[in-house]
Amino acid sequence: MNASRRELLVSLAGAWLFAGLALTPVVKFWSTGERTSDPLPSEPVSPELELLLARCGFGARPQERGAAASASEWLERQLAHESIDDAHFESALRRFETWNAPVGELYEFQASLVRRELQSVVLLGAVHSERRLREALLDLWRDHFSLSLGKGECAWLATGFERDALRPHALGHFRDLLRAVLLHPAMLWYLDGRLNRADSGAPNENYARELLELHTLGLGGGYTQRDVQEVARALSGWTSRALGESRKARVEFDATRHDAGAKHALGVALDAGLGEDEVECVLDLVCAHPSTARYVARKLCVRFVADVPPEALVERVAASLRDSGGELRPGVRTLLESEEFRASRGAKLKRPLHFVASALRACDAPCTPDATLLERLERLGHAPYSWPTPDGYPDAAEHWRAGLLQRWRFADELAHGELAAAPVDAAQLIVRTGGREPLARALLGRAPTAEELALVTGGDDARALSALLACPAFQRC
Amino acid sequence: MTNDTLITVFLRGGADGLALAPPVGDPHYPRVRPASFVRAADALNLDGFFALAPELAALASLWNKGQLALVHDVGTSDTTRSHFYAQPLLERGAPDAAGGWLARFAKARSSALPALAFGDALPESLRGGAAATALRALADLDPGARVERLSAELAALYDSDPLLAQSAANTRTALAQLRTLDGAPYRPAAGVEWGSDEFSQQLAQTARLLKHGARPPVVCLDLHGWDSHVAQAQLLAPLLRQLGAGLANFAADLGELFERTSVVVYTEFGRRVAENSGLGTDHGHGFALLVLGGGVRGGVHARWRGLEADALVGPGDLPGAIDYRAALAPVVERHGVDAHAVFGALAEPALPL
Repeated sequence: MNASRRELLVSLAGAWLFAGLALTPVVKFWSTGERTSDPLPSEPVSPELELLLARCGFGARPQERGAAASASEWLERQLAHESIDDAHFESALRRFETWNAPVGELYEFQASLVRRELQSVVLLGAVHSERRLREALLDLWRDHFSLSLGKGECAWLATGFERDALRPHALGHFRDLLRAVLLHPAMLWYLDGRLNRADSGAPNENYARELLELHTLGLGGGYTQRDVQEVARALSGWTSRALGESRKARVEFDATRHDAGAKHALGVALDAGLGEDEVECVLDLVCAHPSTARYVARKLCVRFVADVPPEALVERVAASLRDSGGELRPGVRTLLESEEFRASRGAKLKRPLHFVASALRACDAPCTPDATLLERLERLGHAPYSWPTPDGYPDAAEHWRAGLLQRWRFADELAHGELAAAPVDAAQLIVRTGGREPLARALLGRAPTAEELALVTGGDDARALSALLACPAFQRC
Repeated sequence: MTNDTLITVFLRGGADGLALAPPVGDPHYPRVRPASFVRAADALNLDGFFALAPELAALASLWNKGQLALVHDVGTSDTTRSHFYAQPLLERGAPDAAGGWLARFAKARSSALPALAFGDALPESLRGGAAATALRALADLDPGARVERLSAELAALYDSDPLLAQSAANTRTALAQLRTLDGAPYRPAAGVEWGSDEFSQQLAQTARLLKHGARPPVVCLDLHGWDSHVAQAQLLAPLLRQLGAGLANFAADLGELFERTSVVVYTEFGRRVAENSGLGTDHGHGFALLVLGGGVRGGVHARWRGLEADALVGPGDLPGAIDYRAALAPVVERHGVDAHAVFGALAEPALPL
């Protein structure tokens, strides 16, 4: 790019940053207004609310207990996330130059910077956004529609994917979400959809297969190899402009690459010559398929209830999704108001991002992601947008439990104040919380057992804090 | 004498058997692969019919010493052509098995050290009860004294957590054993120059571990990126070079120890015989498998039905004429483990390799 344009971009970013600072008269963007010496509430709230905060909110922040609403008030507020004031998080995002650039202009930046800022946004959202439930859903969609920064031009495109495809629809309508994903240049790159052309021989099946297997019907959801091929034909012609072309990352339909013939997919005949509209037919077809509601419901239940969720619950959530025509909120509500959910406290192993975010929140640590902190996520095996294959990071505890050593190390570093990106002063935290026993109550969200209490007796404050963060109960939610 | 450590290299994404070990003697090969075929003269000739990709030339000396076996047209029972079905199927070792084949193998070996897997998490093949630990680097296993103390303080609590007890115990075992490895410096054997890529570095650390006398029953490595739907030749060349150079360095660095080590290179499925419009290949079926190391009967073990349309299956794929377990069984046996304990009844006799 020429220098003047680069300078313009930089100065624009500077202006945004300045505007952010001017609008929000605090030096630290994470500040919620309290002084860092203010006392922190430690008394656990109702078990229902503790569960929601732990499971669907990346862990409780002590202040959330002080603002104690009931579980149902919390859920209503979080479902209506548009009305939540998230100004502190949003002003934090203004600091990221790449987060604020249109998708085509991201190519002007070094891939490593784009990656670092995107991963920082993901971590900051998990730690600092007030829209707790939306962040939890985003974490699910990042796996459901997984893409890896390591493939092709995805490093430049994933930022727009997170910002423009996932964030607006995370708690919206599944068809809108799927459409935004399907027609996003990042996904067209990641699963080769952009190269799926009918004018030169065989179409590229990659996206069509994963659309059915991973994004909608699910493996065994009632589609055949023939359906994969027919859907590939139907989606042929959609492409994205690559690096080196003008209007990079622009998504367009090229009729000359499209297979205009009649198709027969998932038991439905598609007329010849539908052209650009055929993608809408495919979206309708896969969204209306009964396997899709069940597959998405199962994903939700696995994430928020149990690695092997009760079938009856999956069916009820699927029915909610079907009855609402694919609105996600009723399904999420059915799930989080269910007895099965209430009875599942402690049943899930936190995944590493969840563990890290919940540790920072529990310590009331201000988080300014830096290379070290992002590297810790990588070491824990859970760097955002880095799972190599399109099935996304796994949910099951079996996958994650071998990684305890890195969790212990992280707990140790954090508690000893060794992470500059998230400075913690264990002694001060204990004073603010009112002692070690209250700290244990606050971190575990319940009264500690005698064995857990023994962990925090004796030794210095940092050691006591590290033992709480590294203990088995804090690995669960 | 039995072999000690089994190293598996999983080529994730579906590695093309025709690229890895091209059938340069098959008259239809240039026709089906107009964009990517290699000439016999450019490849590493094995038996006149099969060759190894030119980028695997570093394996020539192992081939000449009879320490490399090529098994061609290997298959699983997969018909989905889905990575996420085919990988765990292969890794479990039997469609109805609980846990992975390497976990059953490691259990039978009952080694003092846990099985190791480089990467962020345990692969499917190591799930299911064997002592196993995922690591990104040997240094990951040395947490320092403070964390060691922490792990001891937490031991009782973890012991009473049914989900995490085994993992915590495995982690403490690995800690204790691997912290003592830290002392002696590592010197690669003469002529060994490890590449800077992740795969080479993981092999280097594996070599270092073995040369220090540690004998984990299994070390799993992954080499990602073989899902060559597009521009296959350009995509695969650097991966093949990493694979060839890495394995050649590994054998050279281990020296005599390599005689007591087995290496298996495999993938979840091969690829469509015909190229697609993007000069790539789509998911297929039959693939090529390599076995290296001590005790192996080097050579080509092939069951080849040709590349004509009537020899192919499904949308035009190699049939996978040899059950992959027939190739793995003799390797397992060389470690003193009964293949039936790992794979159950074999669908076909073990290959003589």
